[in-house]
Parts: sequence; C-alpha cells; structure tokens
Amino acid sequence: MTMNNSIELKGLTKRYRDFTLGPVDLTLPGGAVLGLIGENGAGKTTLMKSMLGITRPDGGTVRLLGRDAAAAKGDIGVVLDDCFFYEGLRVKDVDAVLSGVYATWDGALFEAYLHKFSLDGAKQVKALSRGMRMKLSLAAALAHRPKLLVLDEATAGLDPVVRDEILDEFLNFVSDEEHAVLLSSHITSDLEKIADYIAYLHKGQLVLHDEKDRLLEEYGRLVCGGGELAEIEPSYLVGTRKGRFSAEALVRDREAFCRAYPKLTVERVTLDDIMVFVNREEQV
Amino acid sequence: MRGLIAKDFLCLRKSALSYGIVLAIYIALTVTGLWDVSFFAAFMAMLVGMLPYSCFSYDHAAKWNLYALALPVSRRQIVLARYGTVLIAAVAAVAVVLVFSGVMALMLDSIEWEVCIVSATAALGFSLLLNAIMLPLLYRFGAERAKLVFFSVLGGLVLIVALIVNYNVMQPGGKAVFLDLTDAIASLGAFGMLGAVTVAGIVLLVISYLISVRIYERIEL
Repeated sequence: MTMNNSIELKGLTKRYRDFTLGPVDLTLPGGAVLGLIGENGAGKTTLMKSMLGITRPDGGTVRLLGRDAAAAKGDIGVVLDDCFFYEGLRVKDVDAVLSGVYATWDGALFEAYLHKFSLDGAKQVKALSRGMRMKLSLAAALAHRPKLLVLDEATAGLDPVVRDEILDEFLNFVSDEEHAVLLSSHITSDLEKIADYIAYLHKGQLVLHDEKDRLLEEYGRLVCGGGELAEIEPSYLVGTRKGRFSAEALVRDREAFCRAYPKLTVERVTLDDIMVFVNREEQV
Repeated sequence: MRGLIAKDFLCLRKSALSYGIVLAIYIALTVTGLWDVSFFAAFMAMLVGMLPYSCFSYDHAAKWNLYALALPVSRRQIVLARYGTVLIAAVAAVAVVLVFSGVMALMLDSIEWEVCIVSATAALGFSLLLNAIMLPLLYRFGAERAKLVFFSVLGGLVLIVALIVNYNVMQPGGKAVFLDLTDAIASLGAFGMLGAVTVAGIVLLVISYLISVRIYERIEL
C-alpha cells in the first residue's frame, strides 16, 4: 500500500442475483480526481456503496486513505445522487446533526459554505431546488474537512452555471495533495474538465483505467470509407460503426495507427466516443 | 451517535405542534375533571409508542439509511441511537406525567400522589414494552408496513393482557392467585412499582436492541 494512494481496491466484488460487480482493482493517488464513467446499471453506484461499506462486498479488499474503510469514514465526504436530509429539516439543522457525528466537524466552515452557496439556513430542505440541495449536500460533505470526496452523480440534473460552480469547488478541494476526489458522472464533459484519471465500468467490469490525458491521446476517432475500414489491421480497432457511405471507428495506439495509415484522418476522441465504441466492440 | 439522536428529534419537531394541541386538549379535559389523570398518562404512553413509527417514516422518506451508513458510525451505533431516542422520549413523557399529575394532586384533594406515580409507571411500562416489540419489527418490515404492524401489535397486546387476566381469574383459585399477584405488585408501593417497571422496561429494551442489531446487520441497502 502506497501511503499516497487515497483509494486502493483489490479484487472488489459484489454479487447480486442478476448482476456482478468486479473483481475490480482500482487505485487513486492523492491530489487527483478520478472520473468514474459507465452506462446506466454498469455498477458505478454499487462500486461506491461497496467501497464505503454501505453494502457489504462479497470479496476483495478496500483501503481508503491508507486505512480500512470503516476507520477512514471520518475523513471521507460523501455526496450521493440525492439529498438525504428529511424535507422537514431546516438547512441549519444539518449543522446540529452532523456536528454530533463527525469529530472534526467545523460549524463555522459549514456556515461559510452556506454563505458561499447562497443557502439560507432557515429554509426547509423541501423548499430547496435540486441544485440547492446538492449544494447543501456538498457543504455537509466538506464541512468536516475530509481528505477524500466520494461523489455519485453529484452534478446530475444541474444547470451548467451551478455545475461549473461545483466543479470549481472540487478543483479547489483537490489542490491540496492530500485530498482526492472520486466522481461518477454521465456528464463526461465535466470529467474531461476536471478529472486526472478515468475509470470506465462496463457491465460490472473495469474495462479502462488510465490517466485521462493518456486515454484521450491513445485513442482516436477514424472516419473513412467502408472499403478502407476493411483493410485496417483489426488489432487497431476497438469498435466500429458502419453507414451506407462511410464508417467510423475507435482506434487504439493513435500515433502508430497514423504512421501505418498516413492517408487516413484520425480525430481526437471524447470520453463519450470511448464509451460508445467500447460498448460496440462487445456487440460486434 | 449524538447527531443521530438530534436528527430524530429535529425531524419529530414537525409533529410537535399537532401533538402539543392534542396534549393541551387532554390537559384541559383533565383539569376540568372530565377525564382522569390516567387518561393523560395513557396518551403520553401512546405518544412515545408512536414515536419510532414516525422516525422510521421520516428515514424512509429521505432514504436516510443509505446516507447514515456512509457516515462514521457503525450499524450497531445507528440502532443504538434509535433506542436512545426512544428512551429519552419515554423518560421525558414520564416526567411530564409526574409533573402534571403532581400539580393536579396539589390542586385537587381528590387525587392522591400514589395515583400520579402509578399513572406514570403505567405510561412508562406500556411505552417501553410497545417500543421493545415495535423496534425490531420496524427494522425487519420497514416503515411502509409499520402502521399495520403497529396496530396489530397494539391489538395483540391488549388481547393477550385481557386473555391472561380472564384466564387466570376464571381458573379454580385463579381469582385468588390474581389477587395475590395484584397485592404483591401493590405491596411494592408506588415508587417500588416505578423502579420495577423501569428495570423491566430497560431489560426488555436491551433484549429488543440486540434483536434489532442482528436484523439491521443483515439488511442490504
């Protein structure tokens, strides 16, 4: 175990009757943001819940901040895809509740976040919009000065302005090298903006896990004719999409591919492209 | 854990106004002499008996358990906090019954202080017994089926007590045994009864807590 690793999962497995997650091996060094991507039902939430001990894993080991998950929870801030405070509670009640849960809770910092996020402490949770509820969850997750943030679809359903504010907050948080963020999201443009690493879960299996920049460099999007596609060495192709007049493909090892096929044009990929074509590779 | 108990009471605050209005009506009816002090005690016992149902409903509505398990508390502590809430509420209810009936005893010569203690004892005993039964059922069946479970438990308790009393009284010599039993209870004195019920209630709650922990440890969220 490297002391710098904020997350270290080895062989993490969770079995349900109709779905199995893993075994997943995953590491996240301190000072970094890991974006977790995957289609609906791929196991992102299950991975986070198993990692945090919300649900019991069937196998594997979990080390968070160099400790067992249970021992590390006091240093972890969690934002799940909803606000879990009862609607009748007032915003400031969260302070009264969580100050009795976290040993390191900082009431003044919570107040500061409320102010920063323009949250009225006297308002009831039910009076808050989805964006404001997520901000409240984030304030609650940050006010005990965590070292690791685990965020499950924390930016889903938010408008671009609020999302940008929240992403800035994550970047501020991770500027400390002891801090790290695990963020699952379907909004891959958010991850392209802030993630250092990307992990792609597909049907419960981790099919990609690498530095984001390396992934975006490694892969390329090829648009060519159907005949040209047929002549390409299959080991370069991750997934293809054929139309009547043209074909598209995700190619790996972009530099080598460009050397081998200098006449073909390969564009930069997005995380969405990688997800779509990796999924297609399996369908083929 | 303190925070989890605080959360329960903060959620219950919403119901406090409606409970307060009913409480005021009960107080008015008792002060005017229309109702006996024991009715007031029974109401308080019922209030504490309903409390865990409300707590579980609020948790269910907010999916709180999912969040709670991500907090630095164990499942055992989560269950313990819920029992803490119930115990605090039960003690507060008994204190209210004692103070109110004591004031009534001072105001009205017709009420003896022993009656006040016995009323409080009955309230405490009933609320602790009800909670000791209800809490594991709530952990097992969840808040949605809790209302049905609550009234089934309440009806069952009344039926069992009625059957025991009737059966014992109808047996040959049963009336004598029953009277002996009531005499034995009465011989404890008001404070003795309060003490005995408190100890019995806490023992029941501890057993109930251990069962609830076993149930909650197995729940998959």
